[in-house]
Formats: sequence, structure tokens, C-alpha cells
Amino acid sequence: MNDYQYDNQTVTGFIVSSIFWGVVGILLGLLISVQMWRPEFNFQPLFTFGRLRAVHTNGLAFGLGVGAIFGLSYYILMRLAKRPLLFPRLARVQLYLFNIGITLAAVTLLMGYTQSLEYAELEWPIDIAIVVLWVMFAVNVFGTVIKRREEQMYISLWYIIATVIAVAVLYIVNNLSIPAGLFKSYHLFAGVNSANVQWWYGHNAVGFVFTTPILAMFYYFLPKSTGIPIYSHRLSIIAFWSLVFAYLWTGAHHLVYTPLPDWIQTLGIVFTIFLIAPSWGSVVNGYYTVGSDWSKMNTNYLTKFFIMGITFYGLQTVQGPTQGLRIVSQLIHYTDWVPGHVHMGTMGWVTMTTAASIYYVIPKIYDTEIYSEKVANIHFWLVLIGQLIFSVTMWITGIQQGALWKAVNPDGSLKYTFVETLIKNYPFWQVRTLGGIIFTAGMLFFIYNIYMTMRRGKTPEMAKA
Amino acid sequence: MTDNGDNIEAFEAKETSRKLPVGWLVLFWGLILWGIYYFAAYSPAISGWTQEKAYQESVNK
Ligand code: HEM
Ligand SMILES: [Fe+2]
Repeated sequence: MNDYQYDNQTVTGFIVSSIFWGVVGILLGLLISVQMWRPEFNFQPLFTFGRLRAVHTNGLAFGLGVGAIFGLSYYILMRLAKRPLLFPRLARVQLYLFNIGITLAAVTLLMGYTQSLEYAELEWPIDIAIVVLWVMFAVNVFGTVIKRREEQMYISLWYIIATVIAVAVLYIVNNLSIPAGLFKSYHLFAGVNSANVQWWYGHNAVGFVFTTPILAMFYYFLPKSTGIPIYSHRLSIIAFWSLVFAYLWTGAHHLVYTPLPDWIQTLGIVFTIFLIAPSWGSVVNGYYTVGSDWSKMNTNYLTKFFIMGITFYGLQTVQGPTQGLRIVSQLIHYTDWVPGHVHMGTMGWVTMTTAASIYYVIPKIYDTEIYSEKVANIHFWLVLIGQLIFSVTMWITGIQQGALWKAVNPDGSLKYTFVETLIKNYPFWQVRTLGGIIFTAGMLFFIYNIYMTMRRGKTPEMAKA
Repeated sequence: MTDNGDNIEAFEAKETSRKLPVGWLVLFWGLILWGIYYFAAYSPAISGWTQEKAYQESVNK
């Protein structure tokens, strides 16, 4: 099984790349959080908020997120398929192309090139590179699954397959555009159609980048770390199919009270609310699994990462659907509530679960133990506290903002000017920066721990012997 | 390192692998029923409700 070693290097390469882009994205996040309350921290023209925000979101979603997804999906895939990747060299090329792609993405966004579609900012030449990258991933995933040496397909494989298919369809359709020069293009769809396609895509970026591949990790690494089997296989399968079915029709909840036809909004809301059930299928399954032996929370340091991660996923998938309701959307839409929601998901669920998975994988690949469980615990508490500060401050100021915007005098005129409502955000934005610093400190402990583990362990080639 | 893949049985809890918690089933079917009601109640073609009318009513209040 020597081929495994080759693949382990690719897995490690993706994890290290992911961490690298994670550092870039998180530091930029800190900077833009300061720019919100200290305009002097905008440095013309490259390092202004307008450009850096997209570098932050793309860097973290595609650099940290997708990088880790590539690496960990391959790790899971090889073990569940009981065979090496079908095309190990292709995976290696994919790793290089991935880093080139993210670099180009960062540079062009800094230069101000954008399609002006959220999470689909990258201009068409880079889109083509990304599609090539994704096809490489798809070829390896499908090839390896088809040639697998274990007949039964564990739930994590289903989630990985869903990710591959859904992202391909979503990304290609929403990026259909008519080029007008090398770095300029126009969306193929216009007006309300453009918005509808964009949010069909945007919501499913959440669904198929921040949910399905992370659930693949959760279902795989929770049993591996704790030694406890998943409570109900049937529940995981039913939740999977209903989740992927429902997710795709919910995007309209981003367009409540817009010119989008009423019935489309309503249908989007119906699927949105239904999504609580499949989401909570995984939450319940996770709780029942660890519920068979809660002492694992103390005896295995990774258990609390997974349980806290799935808890934030559970909160996120109740809060999210609620936000889709008309009565709630009209209060919180366009306010700072939304970044509060977003970061409970990205910091509390995605990053928490991914970091725990990396903690599991790196010592295995390097044939050693984690450098320090104590450092991991410090990391855990810091990112937890940092994230809670972030989310809670944004929820408070978001509700306040929404309420002030809606306040009217008896004659129907607005009670507050926009700037009056903006100024009230400042203290909350400052506290958010504090939360961000705490979160970043936690991530630095994580990186230090991984680095020391790698140094202590054998290199992937040596581990072969 | 001997890493020949996973034993798939180790992932499934034997006694409970086919269980569906009752509370979860209630949630699942309940949300589907609610969805049917909500779609009917807020679709212009079915109930006559529109965003525009609802807005006018709220302004007239
Ligand atoms: C059942 C699951 C979920 C539903 C139904 C949902 C619903 C929503 C809704 C309605 C909004 C728009 C709020 C507004 O602008 O008025 C939103 C925004 C957002 N959510 Fe969620 N959410 C869910 C889970 C998640 C998860 C797990 C994550 C991340 C890990 C996430 C990340 C985001 C992001 C990034 C945005 C911001 C989109 C933008 O740029 O405007 N959501 N979500
Ligand atoms: Fe959404």
C-alpha cells in the first residue's frame, strides 16, 4: 500500500495550504473589522475595505475552507474506499493549481476586478481555472469511489459526492457571463433573474461548502476520535437526502421583500423552514452518538470540539430558517445581525469541526501523538469565547439598527438619519474587533500545535517504513 | 504505518442503526404540513395575499 504515502503528502499539502490561507484571511478580517470604526486604517487603493472584504471572504471560504475540504475529503475517501486515490498525480497537480488559483484570486480582487456577485466575485478567466480545479477533484472522487474496495458507502462519502456535484452545477451556472475584455464581464442573467440565480448560488455556497463537506468530516472524525459508532445509520441517510433536496430551493430567502415574485419568495421560505428537520437530523445523531458515553467529553480532547461544532450548527440551522421568515427578515436584513449569524457558522461550526479533524489527521499521518492537548484546550476556549463575543455583539447592534431604521414619526417620516443609526454601531464594532483578536489568538495556538506535531513526528515518507 | 482503510462496521451502532427518534419524525412531518399551509396562505394565486397589499395595509394603519 505504498501509494498511500504519496497521497498522505497531498493531504498534508492541502491542510498546510489551507492553514496558510486561513492566516491571511483571518488577519485581513481583523484589519477590516478595524476599518469599520477607524477609517484611517484604509490604505488607498489596494487595502481599502471595499477590496479587502472580498479578499477576506474568498480567502477564507475558498482558501481555508475549500483547501481543507480537498485535503480532508481525500483522506476520508481513501480510507472509506479502502484504496489509494485513483489518480494521485492529478491530486498533486490539483494542489499546485489550487494555490495558484487562490493567489490569482487574491491579487485580482485587490486590484479591484470583480463580477460584483457575492462569493462569485472572481472574473471569468479565474472562474475557468476554478472549474478545471473542480473537475480534477471530481475525477479523483468519482474514480476512487467507483474503484473502491469496500462495497458499502458510509454516509461521509455521500456528503462528499453531493458536494462535488452541487458545487459544480452552482458555480458554473451562476458564473455564466459575457466577457467584455480580459477582466470584465456581464452576468448572463439580468435584473431580478440575476438576483435569483445569484442567491440560489449564494445560499448553496453555505449549503455545499460550509455544510455538506463539513458534515462528511463530522460523521467520519467523530466516530474515529471517540471510538463510538454513529447512533443511527438510517437517520443519517434520511437526513442526507432531505438536506440536499431542500437546500437547493431556499435561496429566495435572501430576497424577501424584493421585486422577486411573491410566490417564489414564499416557496423559498417553505423549503427554508423545512431545512430545520434534515439539519437537526445530524445534530440529534451527533448528540445521541456521544450520549451513549458522555465521559468522552472529558477523556478525549476532540469530543468537545465536535459537540460544540454540531451545537453551533444546530443553532445556526434554527436561526437561519427563522431569518428567512418575512417578519424576521424585515427587521434584520441589511443589518449587522447577518455577520453575527454568518460567523457563528463559519467560526463556531466550520472552523471548529475542521480544526478538530486536522488535529485527528496530522498525528495519524506523522505517526505520532498530538503535541499538546493542553494547547488544544486553550485553542478551544479562545476560539469559543472570541466567536461568541463576535456573534452576540452583532446580534444586539443588528436588532438595534433594524429597529432604528424602522422607527417613524407620527407623520410617517423617518425618526433617525442613516448616520445616526451608524454611529450607534461603533462600540459594538470595537468589541467585535476584540472578539476577533481573541479568536485569532486561539487559531495561533492551533497552528503552533499542528506545527509542533509535524516537527515531532516522522515525515509522511518516513512513516512508510 | 499500516493503514489499509476503515472497517465500515465500526461506524454503525448495531442496536440503534435503524432507529428514527420520534421527536425528530414529528418535526420532519410537522414542517412539511406547515409548508403546505404557508405556501397556500402566502401565494397570490391561492389566497390572494400579495406583498404589495400587505404593505398598503401596514401603511394605512
Ligand atoms: C438551515 C440552514 C441555514 C439557513 C436556512 C440560513 C438562512 C440564512 C438567511 C435567511 C440569511 C440572510 C439573512 C439576511 O440577509 O437577511 C443567511 C445569511 C448567511 N448565512 Fe445562513 N442560514 C443557514 C445556515 C448557515 C450556515 C451553517 C452558515 C455558515 C457556516 C451560514 C452562513 C451564512 C452566510 C455567509 C450568510 C451571509 C450571506 C450574505 O452575504 O448576505 N448560514 N442565512
Ligand atoms: Fe441562505
